[in-house]
Amino acid sequence: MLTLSDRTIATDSEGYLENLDDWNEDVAALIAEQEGISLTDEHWPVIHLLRRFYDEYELSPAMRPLVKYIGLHLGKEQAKSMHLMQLFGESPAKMISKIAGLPKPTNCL
Amino acid sequence: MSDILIIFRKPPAGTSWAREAMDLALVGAAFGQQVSLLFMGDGVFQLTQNQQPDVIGQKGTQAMMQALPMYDIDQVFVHQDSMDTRGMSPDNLNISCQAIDSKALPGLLQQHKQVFNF
Amino acid sequence: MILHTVNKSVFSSQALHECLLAAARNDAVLLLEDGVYGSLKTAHPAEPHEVSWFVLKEDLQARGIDESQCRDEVTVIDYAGFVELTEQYLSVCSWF
Repeated sequence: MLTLSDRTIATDSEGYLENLDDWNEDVAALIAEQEGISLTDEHWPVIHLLRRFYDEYELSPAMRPLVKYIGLHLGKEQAKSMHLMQLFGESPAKMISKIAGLPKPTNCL
Repeated sequence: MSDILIIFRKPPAGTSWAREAMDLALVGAAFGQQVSLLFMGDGVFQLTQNQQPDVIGQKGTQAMMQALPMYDIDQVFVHQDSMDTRGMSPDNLNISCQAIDSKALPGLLQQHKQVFNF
Repeated sequence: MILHTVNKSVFSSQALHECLLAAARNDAVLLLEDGVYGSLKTAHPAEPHEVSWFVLKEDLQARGIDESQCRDEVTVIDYAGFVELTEQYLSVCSWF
């Protein structure tokens, strides 16, 4: 469960949102904070792009397609695994999905 | 020799076979396996455009199928005779596929280490 | 070298027909569960095919089918034979 100033939001045991409609940027910042990540201008484009991926394909991507998609839309530099790991820790695909308020990628263990 | 061939033989809607087949395809690809898809029999109906599974309260696989190129799955085959029998044209499918005739089917299966049927 | 298994009746399902379309000459087709009806002399699977045919004895017995009702080219095997087949072929592909 996440507690904001005006409401509480249900999450599963791993911290993913139960209801995707609960998401907004404040919620994202709160989830990130709990994971020890403070969101910067470098994080946001990736987070928004992942939400776009989900809208388009109705699934949370594993690492490879995520990297490919970022490369297509944000450029090769942004798409480097090292860069994503610096921003989002050692499991970027899972972490970005969590912060973006999306389900855990099922196709990534 | 490619790693995995996944055969879609069931029509969309009503069952979750296509979803499970797609899940397997994406998991395989995410783990670096070379995955090919084959649509045959009623499975070719998976490829019709404008499916609206939400009308009957279901989730389809249309959107997921658009993600195949993101998972580097570009070997997608459709059985020509199955399409012909069902009055479908290769021109209006929801993803791009290579048509394959009956003579070439056995060879396609032999080219893969594992064949999964859905 | 694929072992194909078919578990639906040839009289109600396209499973055997589609399997035979996709099977190669040195593949094997094993009929089991309701698939055993495809071994009947009256079944006439889609086209004459050079695959090796097998049918599972236990599933014949359960359905009251005598081996004499099966087509000549079909070999009757038991579960142990099934296991041996899976060892002889590179992979197993089930049609249902």
